[in-house]
Amino acid sequence: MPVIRGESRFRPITPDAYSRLLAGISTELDGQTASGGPTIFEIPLSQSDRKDILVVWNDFRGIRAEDRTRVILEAYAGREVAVAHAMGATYGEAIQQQLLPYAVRPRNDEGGLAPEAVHSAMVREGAFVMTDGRLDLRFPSRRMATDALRRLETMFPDSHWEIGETFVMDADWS
Amino acid sequence: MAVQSLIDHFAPDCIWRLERAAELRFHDAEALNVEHRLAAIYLYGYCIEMCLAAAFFRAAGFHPGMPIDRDARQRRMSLARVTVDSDGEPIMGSDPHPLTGWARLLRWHRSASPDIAPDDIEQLNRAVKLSERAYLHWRPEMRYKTIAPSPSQFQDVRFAAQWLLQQRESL
Repeated sequence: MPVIRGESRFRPITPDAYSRLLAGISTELDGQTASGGPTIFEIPLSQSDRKDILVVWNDFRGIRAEDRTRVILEAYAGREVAVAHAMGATYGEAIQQQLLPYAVRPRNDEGGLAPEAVHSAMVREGAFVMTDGRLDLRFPSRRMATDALRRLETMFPDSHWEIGETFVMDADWS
Repeated sequence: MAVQSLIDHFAPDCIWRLERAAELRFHDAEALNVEHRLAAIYLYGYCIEMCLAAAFFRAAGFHPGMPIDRDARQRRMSLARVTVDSDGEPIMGSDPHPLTGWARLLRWHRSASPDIAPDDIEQLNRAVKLSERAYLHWRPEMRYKTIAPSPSQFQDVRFAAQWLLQQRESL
C-alpha cells in the first residue's frame, strides 16, 4: 500500500523571519505605521489592568502559532502593557476564527458622504484593505467597535454607521 | 404587562459562577441519574466542561469574579486550536464544547510553569484521561437523542464529573 505523507504548512521560524516580524511589530508599537504592516489590537480585559494582544498581519502566513506569540511577547517586553494573552493571525485566519466579529460600516443610505473621505477615515481607524480596494473595518471587541463608530460619526456629523456582528452558530457554550 | 425575559438577566460568566453552575448541574444530574440517565450524562458533561474551563481561567490569572466575555474566551480557544501539543496534535479540537480540549489546554498552560510539581502534573494528566473517557460518551447533540446508555458509559461520565468537581480548586 502506498505511503501518503502529508506536509505541514508550518515550519519553525528562521532567525531572519523572526527578526523581520519583531522589527515590524516593534516599529508599529513605536507609532511608525507602515502600509502592509501589522494591525495591533490591545484589548482590555474586564475589571483588570491586563490586556489581550491580537496582531493581525498577513506576514504571519506559514509561521507557527507559538512563534507568533513569542515574537509578539518579545516586542512588548519592557513596554508598559500588562499582557494577559498574545496571538497573531493573518486577516483570513482572524475572520475564520471569529477573532474580529464586530464590523463597522456606513449605512447604505449615506449618499452625502464623499467616498474618498470615508475611505481615508476608515483606513485611519484600522480598516483592512482588500486586494480589490474594498475596506473591512473590524474589531475584536464591541467596545472598540463602538468607540470607532463614535469617532466616525463625529468626523462625519450627518452620517450613520452601524456595527454588524458575525458569529457562527453553535460556536461556544453561550 | 411586558414579559420579562430570563436571558436578559444572565450575568457574565466568571470563575465562581462557572464553578457554582458546575455544582448545580452535577446535582441536577444526580436527581436524574436513576430514571433519566441520558439527561444525567448530558448535564454531567457540562459540569465537566465548566470545571475545566474555570480551572483554566484561574490558571491564566483571572480572579474569581472577573468577567470572562465571549471574545476573550474565543481568543484563547482559537490559539489552543492552532497550537500543537507535545503529542503533535492541536491542544484543542474544533468541537464547540471540547471537554478534552479544555483539559489539555489547562495542562499545557500549567506545564509551562517551571515551578509545577510532579504531583500536579500527575493530577493534570488524570484530568485529561478522565475527560477523554467521558467524551467518548458525551456530545451536546445528545439532547436530541433517545439512546439508553450502558451502566459503564454512565459511570465514566459521572465519575469524571465528580472527580473534577472535587479537585477543581487544585487543578
